[in-house]
Amino acid sequence: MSKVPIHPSITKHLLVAITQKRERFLTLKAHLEKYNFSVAICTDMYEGLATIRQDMPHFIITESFLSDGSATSLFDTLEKEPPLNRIPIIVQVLKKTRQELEEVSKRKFSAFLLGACEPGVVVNKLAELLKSFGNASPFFSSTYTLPFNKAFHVRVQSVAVGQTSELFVCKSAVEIDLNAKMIINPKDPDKKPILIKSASNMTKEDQHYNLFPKRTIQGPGRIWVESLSEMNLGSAYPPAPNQVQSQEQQKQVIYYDKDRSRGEQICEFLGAHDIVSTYTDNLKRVYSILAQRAEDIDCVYLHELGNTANDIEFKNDLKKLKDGTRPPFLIATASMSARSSAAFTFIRTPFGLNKMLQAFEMCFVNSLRSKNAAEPINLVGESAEYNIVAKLIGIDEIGGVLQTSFALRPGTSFTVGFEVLQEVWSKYSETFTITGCMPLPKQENVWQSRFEVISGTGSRLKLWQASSSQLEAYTKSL
Amino acid sequence: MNRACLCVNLDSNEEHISDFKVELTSFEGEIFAAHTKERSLAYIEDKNLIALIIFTNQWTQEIDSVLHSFQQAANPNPEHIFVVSLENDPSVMKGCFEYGVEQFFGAEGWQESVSNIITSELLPTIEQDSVQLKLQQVGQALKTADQKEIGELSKELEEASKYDYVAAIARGKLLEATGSYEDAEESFKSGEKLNRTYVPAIQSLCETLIVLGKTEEAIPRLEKLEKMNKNSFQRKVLLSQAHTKTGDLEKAKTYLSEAGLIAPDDPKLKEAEVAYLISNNQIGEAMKKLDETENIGHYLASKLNEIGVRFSQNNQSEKALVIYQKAHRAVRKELKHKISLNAGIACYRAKKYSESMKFLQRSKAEYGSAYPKLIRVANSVKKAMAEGGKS
Repeated sequence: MSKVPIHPSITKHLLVAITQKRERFLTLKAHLEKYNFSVAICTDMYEGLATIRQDMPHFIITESFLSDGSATSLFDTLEKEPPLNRIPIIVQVLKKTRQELEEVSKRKFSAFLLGACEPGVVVNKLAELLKSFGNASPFFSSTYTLPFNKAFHVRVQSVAVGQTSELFVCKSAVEIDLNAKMIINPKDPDKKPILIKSASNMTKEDQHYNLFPKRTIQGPGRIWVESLSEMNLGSAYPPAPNQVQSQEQQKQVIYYDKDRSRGEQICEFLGAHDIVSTYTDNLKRVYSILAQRAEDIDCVYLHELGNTANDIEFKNDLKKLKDGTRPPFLIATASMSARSSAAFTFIRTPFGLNKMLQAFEMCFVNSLRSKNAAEPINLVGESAEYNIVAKLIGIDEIGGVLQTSFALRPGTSFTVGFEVLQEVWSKYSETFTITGCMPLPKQENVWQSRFEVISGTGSRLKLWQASSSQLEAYTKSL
Repeated sequence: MNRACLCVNLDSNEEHISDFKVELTSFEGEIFAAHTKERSLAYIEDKNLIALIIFTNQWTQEIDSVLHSFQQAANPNPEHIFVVSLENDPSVMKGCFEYGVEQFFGAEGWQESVSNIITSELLPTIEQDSVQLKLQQVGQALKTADQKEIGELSKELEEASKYDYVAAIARGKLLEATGSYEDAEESFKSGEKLNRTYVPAIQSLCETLIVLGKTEEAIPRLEKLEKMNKNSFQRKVLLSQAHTKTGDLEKAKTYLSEAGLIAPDDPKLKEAEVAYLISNNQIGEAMKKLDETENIGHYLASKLNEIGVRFSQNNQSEKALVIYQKAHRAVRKELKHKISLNAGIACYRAKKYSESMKFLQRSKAEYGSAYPKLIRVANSVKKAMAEGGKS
């Protein structure tokens, strides 16, 4: 069992159901898929064992008697094949006959289902079992306290393509979070690394342009950033403190906050940054302005948008707006799990005004994009690598779970800056992929991601064995 | 080196604040908790603080003073300051923006996040990054006014000030302390360019611009900042000084009154009032008020030097010396050597050579060594004495 809590939603659990009649499990399969499970149905023990050996499921549900065996013989077979003996087996006792009950009572199964499968009952049983191995895979081995953690980090390939007066722009295959904090290492050894904080993204044909505010850059590498080619992303940024902005260049924002005093004070602050805000404490008014002149608005700020009747009505109203006219939204929220996109940027409360300004600026860039402003294409730049400090929480049959201080978007491809595991894992795939990422409840800036080293083909068992033995050898060598 | 953390909650009582000591469990250094401004300032002065954690839901002038002192004396880097706040109060947001503080946390879960940042980011940086280590030393160097250390630190931060805005501002302050205002201006401008929303960079630059008489550059910057937040005492004082310098005494007085409403007891207010009275030719009153001030900064020090020089050049050395004597008591430690030098020059002009030499000796001791201008003046005094001049 894991020594740290694993977020229940980051792991997609695979369940193998072995039945004599496929249709018995079809309803359950549909039901479980709603709960982040994937279900493989096998119609005999032979097929079941093959699937178990190949996919290393997190649960097995089997009928007590199968066409070519029984739950007991399945139990005995797996018992001889560690680590497959870690998989909890739930036995379905269909007819509840004495013979059937006697048969299943001979082994220590994890749970029983009496009679036909009730999806609700199965979900409850699975939830109980999941708790017993900390929401992770049964093959999960905690590495949280191992001493290598200081050396572990996530590496993402990128190209530093240019700069504007305010932004440093890199191209990569991933989107970077607004709260990102990471080191960018240029491949050129003469150039020094930089530390960046905060980012937003522009996406064009599967390529992501990661935009980093230059004022958040730290480290001596800032000097080489200034030598990159100039790019034109339009006038997304307000002028320097001693410059005056022309009226056309000023940004137009609708500012919604139920707290009038706060709203007015923040609008006054934004005004000093040449962001002209129309304040309102009424969502209907927000929509009415958008309906009249959405194309003049560079961003809509909403301080908390919940699920009240008014909020829902507003969300529905938004759908009525003409395609492509809706400006980007910046939403302040207390939710830790809200994820930003090009259309909706979330900023977590409480926040500082500089963070708010950065978030507005990012929205303005997105607003320019939707208005077909200049886009960075065909730019050649400096090869670089994002280095994100991470903690490896544990390994499992497809990869493992890691922890970072900001969200890593699902789909992010990466390698790891820890040779002991990189060496083993690179035999399975050139890069590894984030498959799920969630924040830990009641802990700010702690995000857990599950990642895949192996997907599709390749033996999960061999990967798991190789990772485990490599880590064991490394730990002993310390 | 053992590092400590200071938790400040000015809304709380002592019993409650002691709870914080157990909350930052993963931080291995000492944790101090304060519930009054005075105690907070004492910890900032005495302890080797790495981080400041402020608990507040509303901005007060006392919190402003604590933040100001922490950045001046302990660490100028805003990343070493954390704010735990239940809600987004605009006064807290604006107040923190004045100091570049951006690390906000809600009441739930702040402990682990703050502990993590301190232990895994701030501590290793301080220990491994020479620039961060130097930044921690700036406050102490300015406090002791050790010109040798100030000079060395300024040299060591020169490269970093090209890419690090906090280093650029720290270097600017060091350069100011040596009297190199033009170089300080350049360093502050570099800080402003590196981070155009960092208020301490802009205000420090404006302070120097005012001393240099470049009010046409300082006033628009300050007015723009004033639009963002009308409750900054420091800025009202700077605006008052800038307008005093331009001769717009009416505006200067308005800002002075507004500053007085925000922090009537702040010593900086008296300092600005003295400058205003001098410009309004109320020298007598100004001198009386000067006796009530201490730790006065560059602007008033330069103004006092200016009127001293004027008296001395008009053969009113006695009057000049009275001003220098009062100024010497009141100015910050790093500015005293200049007052002593000017007093030496006033005595030289009045042909009081022995007295002049005494002031020059004092200036040398305050500076830490002889410096070019002092050597030039001392040579002139010696020459005059050798030619038979007696005091």
